[in-house]
Amino acid sequence: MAKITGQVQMLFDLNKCLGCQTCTSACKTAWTDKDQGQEYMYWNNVETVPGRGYPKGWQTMGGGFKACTNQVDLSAPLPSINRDYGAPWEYNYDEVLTTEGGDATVGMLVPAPRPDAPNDYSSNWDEDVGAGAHPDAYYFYLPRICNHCSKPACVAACPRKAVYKREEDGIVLIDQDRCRGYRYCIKGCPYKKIYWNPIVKKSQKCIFCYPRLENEDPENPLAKNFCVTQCVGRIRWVAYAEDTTSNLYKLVNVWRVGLRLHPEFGTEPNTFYIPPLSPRVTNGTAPRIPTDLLAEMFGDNCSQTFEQRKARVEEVFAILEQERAKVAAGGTSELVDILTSYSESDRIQL
Amino acid sequence: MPLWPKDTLTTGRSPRVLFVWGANYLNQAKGFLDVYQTLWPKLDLIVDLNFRMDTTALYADVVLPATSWFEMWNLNTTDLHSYIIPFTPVIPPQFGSRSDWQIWQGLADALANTGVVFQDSLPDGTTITRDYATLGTDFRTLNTDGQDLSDDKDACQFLLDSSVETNGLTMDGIAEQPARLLETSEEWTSDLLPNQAYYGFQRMTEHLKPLHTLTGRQQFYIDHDWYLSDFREELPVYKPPVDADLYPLRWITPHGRWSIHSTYRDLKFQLRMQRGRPIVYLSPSEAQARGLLDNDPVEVLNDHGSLVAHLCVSPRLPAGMALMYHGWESYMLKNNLDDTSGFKNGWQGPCTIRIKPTQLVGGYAQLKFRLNYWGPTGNQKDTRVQVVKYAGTLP
Repeated sequence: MAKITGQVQMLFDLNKCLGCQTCTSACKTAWTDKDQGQEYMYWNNVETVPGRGYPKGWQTMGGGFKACTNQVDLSAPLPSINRDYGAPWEYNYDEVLTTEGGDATVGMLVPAPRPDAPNDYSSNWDEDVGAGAHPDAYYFYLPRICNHCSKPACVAACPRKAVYKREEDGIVLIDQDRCRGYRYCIKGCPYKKIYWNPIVKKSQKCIFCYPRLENEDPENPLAKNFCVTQCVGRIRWVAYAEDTTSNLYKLVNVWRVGLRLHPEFGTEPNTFYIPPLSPRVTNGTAPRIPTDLLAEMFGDNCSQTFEQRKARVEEVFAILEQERAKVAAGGTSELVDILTSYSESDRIQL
Repeated sequence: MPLWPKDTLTTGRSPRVLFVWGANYLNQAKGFLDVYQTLWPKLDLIVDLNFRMDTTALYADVVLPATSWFEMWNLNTTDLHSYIIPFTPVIPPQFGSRSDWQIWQGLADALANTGVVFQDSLPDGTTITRDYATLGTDFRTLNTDGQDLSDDKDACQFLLDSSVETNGLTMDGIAEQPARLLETSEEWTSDLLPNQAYYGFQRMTEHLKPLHTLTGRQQFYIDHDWYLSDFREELPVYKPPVDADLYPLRWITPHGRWSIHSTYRDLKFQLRMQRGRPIVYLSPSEAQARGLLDNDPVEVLNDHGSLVAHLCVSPRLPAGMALMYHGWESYMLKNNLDDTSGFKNGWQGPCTIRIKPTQLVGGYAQLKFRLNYWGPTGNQKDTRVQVVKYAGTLP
């Protein structure tokens, strides 16, 4: 792999995500709503945590590098579209909504295939289900795109060198002409962010909206990643890792509130998450979302222990609470200012 | 609240024509089945001006296909913020649809062609001569000093020119760059403050302008007879649920994430990000007590109606509650309205209308009927249901 001279990064503030799926819809309608075989693909998805995610159970599906080595884990079976993603259902709109001769239509709008086992799943099946017990039940939203990892397991897994990482910006792409559909990349990606197109028999994935980055509109230079520009909650920041003046850089490296999702997979993701604070449990002091759950998901790097990760999550919470308290007391905080994000140009710095 | 036409209840007059605009009335009405069984047969003509083939459109005699937001010039605003939002025609009207303004204009012209002239009585007892022959012209020129407003964009510009909030803005200008209102009239409760988001009641807090209450201040105490003696609500008070619908689960139907009321409820892209069909939520304990599993088909029922949906079991629900996000089209639920098997479907099936008597108080200080602000609403909060496993077959 050639030396990467630039690296795009994205940061998500999970305290601001409202689970509206506008990012998902923007991505879907931009990139994967036209070609057959892409119906089930969500290059960007948002899943409820705790929950099984998309594909179902991806967090334990395998892939990534074994114990921080350079050896890709290809032992796990490939996810199946019906069982693990859920077959994307179609509807009989014509039957139900078209009338003839002025008669009220008889019929019911039904999904096909029916969302019953084994097709009882979709990208958002576990939405808002959560865990715990009322009134302390809890859940939060986790938006996910391809992490455009610095050490991409998909690139390492591909025997055709069809998956590649661009030198200029670190975006990971699949050369659709070279791809032969072996799907080692899907086995190798521990985040299961590569999708198999069964019609064209090639693997496809999030392209970080590179055509929008390459063809900058001079009249609208902030028109970059659709998932970022459409984000209702303004939870996403994008920047080049090398730009030490960016707000993303400040959040990750100066304020140190951005954590990686499952860094133990060993791929060095270029996406960062600010873990979600939550109210205290009833009659207790523990946060409603168990810190253990967050420590199992988030950390800095591959070699951290669980205890170190838990300490980091608690450290992030302490920083957030301390800076919020400053503002609540009438003071100012650079961190809170960045997180408030007054304009698009505060978040889109590519 | 005024009852009109006068003496409707004693003369036996009943509505003959229903014109639905900007709503999916049949689908969204509480007392869903009552509306269909009682009101619909009385009507000679049901017209629906709609950009969607929804439940109301399916049960209308005539559907006037309207353009949606990106096919026309139009304006949108609210008193909850200080911006005026233009709709612009990104694409021409599709499939023979027309903008709302053009449809109303066409109706005015059609009525003008009838040449009907008649005496109409007004609520205050006076009469007025209605001459339909001039209706088309009136529609386009009334209050405009002869200017012709047949064009959508011209009509929008006329509205901008006619309000102090927007007089000075142009349609092309706000299409290019969204604009804040220029000032707020007396109707508003706050001034427009530069570089500050609009918030309510600033004139009351900063300029000590009296509120529109009996005392001119924030007021909880209401000394109207009905509040004082009939219902004992002179101050806000907790009252236990009405003892009706003696079923075990409170029926809650909040606004959903996936639709604006019923709009978008039936869209494939939206449904694919849910469970593909209507779902109802129960807590794990309530599901277990009924032997129900996640994704089981269930019937939600009470004496008013029933519906069939699929179960989602979630611990965020308390025991004693069944929750369904609102707006499912009747054609997304088991059977349709014409089915005679006893199923009374529609997401509003289990709801009836219970008018809270104190909301009928009017003409007293701040308690003054004003559409969308004060008046009787269909309270549904005391509706209770049972949820049982659905034993029938689903299409």
